[in-house]
Amino acid sequence: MSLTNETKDIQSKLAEYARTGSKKEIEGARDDRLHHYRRLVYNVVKGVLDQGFPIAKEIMGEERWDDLVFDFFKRHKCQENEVWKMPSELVEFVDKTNYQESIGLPYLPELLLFEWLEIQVHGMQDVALPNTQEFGSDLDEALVLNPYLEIAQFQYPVHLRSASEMEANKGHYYLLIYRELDSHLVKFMNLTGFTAILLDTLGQSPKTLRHALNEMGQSLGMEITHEIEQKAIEFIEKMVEKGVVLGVK
Amino acid sequence: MKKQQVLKSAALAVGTVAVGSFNANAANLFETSDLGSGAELRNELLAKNHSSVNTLFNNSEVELKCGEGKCGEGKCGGEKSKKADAKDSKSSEHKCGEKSKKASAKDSKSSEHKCGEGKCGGDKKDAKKSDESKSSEHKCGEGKCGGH
Repeated sequence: MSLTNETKDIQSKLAEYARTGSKKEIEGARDDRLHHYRRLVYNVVKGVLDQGFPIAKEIMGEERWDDLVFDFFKRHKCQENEVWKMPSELVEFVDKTNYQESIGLPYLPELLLFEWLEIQVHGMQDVALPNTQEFGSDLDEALVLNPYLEIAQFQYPVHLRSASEMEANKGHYYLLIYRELDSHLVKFMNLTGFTAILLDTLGQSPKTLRHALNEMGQSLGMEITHEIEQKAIEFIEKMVEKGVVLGVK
Repeated sequence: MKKQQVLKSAALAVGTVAVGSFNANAANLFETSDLGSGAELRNELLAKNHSSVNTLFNNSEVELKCGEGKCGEGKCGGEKSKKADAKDSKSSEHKCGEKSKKASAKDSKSSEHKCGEGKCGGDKKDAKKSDESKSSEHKCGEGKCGGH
């Protein structure tokens, strides 16, 4: 059942008031009760973000964190219609507003992204898994990856270091985040640039390890030696054990 | 969100991954390390950061001991609340009713958030932020004193 224009208008005004605190005439609303709605909505937003970003909150401290959340609440018009996705909008908000500069935490966008990715991978929509067979440690088998994974690239070691060590260790970091099929636990693995690209290449479509390595060799202008092939097989065996690679097609 | 930070294609990745990272021997190319589950990694990072945060910000708040703050200022019990955050699993049922099987995951990240289930009468600070009128509904003892 669709809403009448009048209802939509009232809802929009109430939402606007809840976010900004600027009062407009809202039909049927009692002035002495209205502020409770704002408080309730803010508490839901803050509760979700507090739980989504405990590390950022810890690093920033209660006051700075509250300021960020309140700024986000007031200035950002959330578009996601599922509450659990709201943290991704905070990531976008910080990125878009360069919020990190105003508080001197250059790694804040990456830290928030790192924390959000856990939620994202955890909440990934279930998909039908293809039938697979056991990996036979063969370069010419088409590998099938776990569909519930993300690979992120960071400049700051937000997944490895404390805040005080972050800026001194600026560099290149690669992180695999994946959801175990049975336990539904989200797991993390620190990758090298090479393994990040390899998994990313394999994840695009089922392809053989030899194919993926050759593709990478060409793109990167490097020779894929026998030793690299052997190490790649060992790596895939480990990934099978971890549930990152499901098997072969 | 910066799209280049989440690898979506090899072409993108090759263009953004440090070339220098491949000037290594074969073994180094494949060096990976398990960081554990979300809960394990989060607790580890929270513990690391807990000790280092004081050096980042000149935050006199952390030096206060329980009892030094005034009731209603939100200091007393603050420590407890932070630790509780560290232990709390972060996600779990964000989807309001969806995927109930995931709720059983041990390191699930959230508690179920439903629309309208805010912390009615909760944090004083929150109330202050969300309501400029500083409503007088919060009495001493209703706020953070003593933790959540």
